[in-house]
Amino acid sequence: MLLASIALALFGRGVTGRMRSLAQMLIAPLGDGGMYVVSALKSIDRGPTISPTEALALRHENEQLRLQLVEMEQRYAEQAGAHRHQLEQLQQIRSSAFVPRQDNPCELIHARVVAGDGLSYGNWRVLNRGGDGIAHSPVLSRMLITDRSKGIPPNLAVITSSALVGRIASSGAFTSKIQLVTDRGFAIRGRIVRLIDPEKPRLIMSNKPGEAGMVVLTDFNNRLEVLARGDGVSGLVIEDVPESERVLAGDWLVTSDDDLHLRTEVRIGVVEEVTVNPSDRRFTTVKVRPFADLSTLRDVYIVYWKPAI
Amino acid sequence: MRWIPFVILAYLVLLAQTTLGQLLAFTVRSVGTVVPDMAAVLAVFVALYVRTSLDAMIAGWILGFFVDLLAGGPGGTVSAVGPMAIAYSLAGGLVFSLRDAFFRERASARLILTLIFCILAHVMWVTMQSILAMSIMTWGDYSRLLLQACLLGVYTSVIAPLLCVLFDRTRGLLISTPSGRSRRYYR
Repeated sequence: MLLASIALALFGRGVTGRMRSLAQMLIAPLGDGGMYVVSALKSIDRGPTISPTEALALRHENEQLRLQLVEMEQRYAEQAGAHRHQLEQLQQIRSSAFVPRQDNPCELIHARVVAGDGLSYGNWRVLNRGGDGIAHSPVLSRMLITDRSKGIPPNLAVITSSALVGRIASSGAFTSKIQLVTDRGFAIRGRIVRLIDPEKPRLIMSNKPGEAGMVVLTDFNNRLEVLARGDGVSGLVIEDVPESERVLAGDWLVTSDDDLHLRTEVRIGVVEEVTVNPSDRRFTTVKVRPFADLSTLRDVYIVYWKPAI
Repeated sequence: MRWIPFVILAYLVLLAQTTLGQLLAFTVRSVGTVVPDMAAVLAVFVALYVRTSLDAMIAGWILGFFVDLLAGGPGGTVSAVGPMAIAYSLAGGLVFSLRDAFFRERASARLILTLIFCILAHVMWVTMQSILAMSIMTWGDYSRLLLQACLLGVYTSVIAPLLCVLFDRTRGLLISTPSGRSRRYYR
């Protein structure tokens, strides 16, 4: 047995893929329930605790807000009729003047997290096929997964409804393993979107011919391409970002639209900390916190980009 | 040793480790996430009560093999299968040889033996995986993983006495003929 283990460790990388897939399939049916409990309890755990006095004040505020809401709804209903008529007119003009916008040619395969990592050294999750609860959504989850029961190709992006959470590392029949964005081996080319505040204009260094020097950050020069890597703990790290780009906490990291598996901008995380490199003060290290709460991750979508016809 | 009940219990423990174990996880900012290794507690428990060292090593091998199959790699790559099976097997054999020096019903004995088992097995696993992924691992990564392994060992050993209370209830199902002092337990 020990010799077999040594042989597997040294030469068995190809052979063990099926074994892993089988083990994940065994875990998946009952793991679904376990992960439901985990995500439910962790969500409660993260909720703020409030005192009885604060609870009463919040209840009072809630009632006031509800009254305001009723008033606003009445006002809105009056205005809505007029607006609807205007909108129909505008849509007629638009459809006659412009061609419809083309949608992204991708399929979103619904999947569900059914298990975490067996050990805590990496950040991985096991996915099963999605539930039937979205049978009427544009994505036919059961159908798609069944069609791909031979396995989903690696490196496909995995997103929640709001952010990128990882990529497919390996997959077998009915289950896939995803590498989360926080894993040490995760790397992605992305873009930092710096927040523009008209009251506090941000000066950045421009190298463009004709406008070299310090310029005000605008929508047109807000494209900072970076390489982000998982830090192996709870976030991502971007190293060697020029200090002159003035990245600040609160800025966003998004995917770059030239990524092969995700050709659109999807949020990844928010900049949490920017530290100047002690060895070279012209550069900074940026720490990014993922948008999605990875500890309570449950329903996700695998983005399958259709090849160009 | 009754192997079928053992495999079923191993499955349930690994299921709990990969799902409910996330509830017990905590993160140390400079080190990483630490989750208790419940499979190690079962391996220690079995090594405390089986008749022969071979049984302890086989039980360790089975548990380690399944842990290997369910674990992601430490260096961001999919890990090799086999190192944890070797590590659990050897550590199980060590616990078997050490058990006569302890009163195995005591919580403190279970805590100490689990600590020894975990640190030995996980340090071996981290070292073997680091060697196999030598091209991408750095010394900094390796030292961080070693620290993580030690924290995991301490954390697992703290909860080991509690888990062993649960495993105690299944002892009659797992062990066909108890060995040594624990024979009295069944009279």
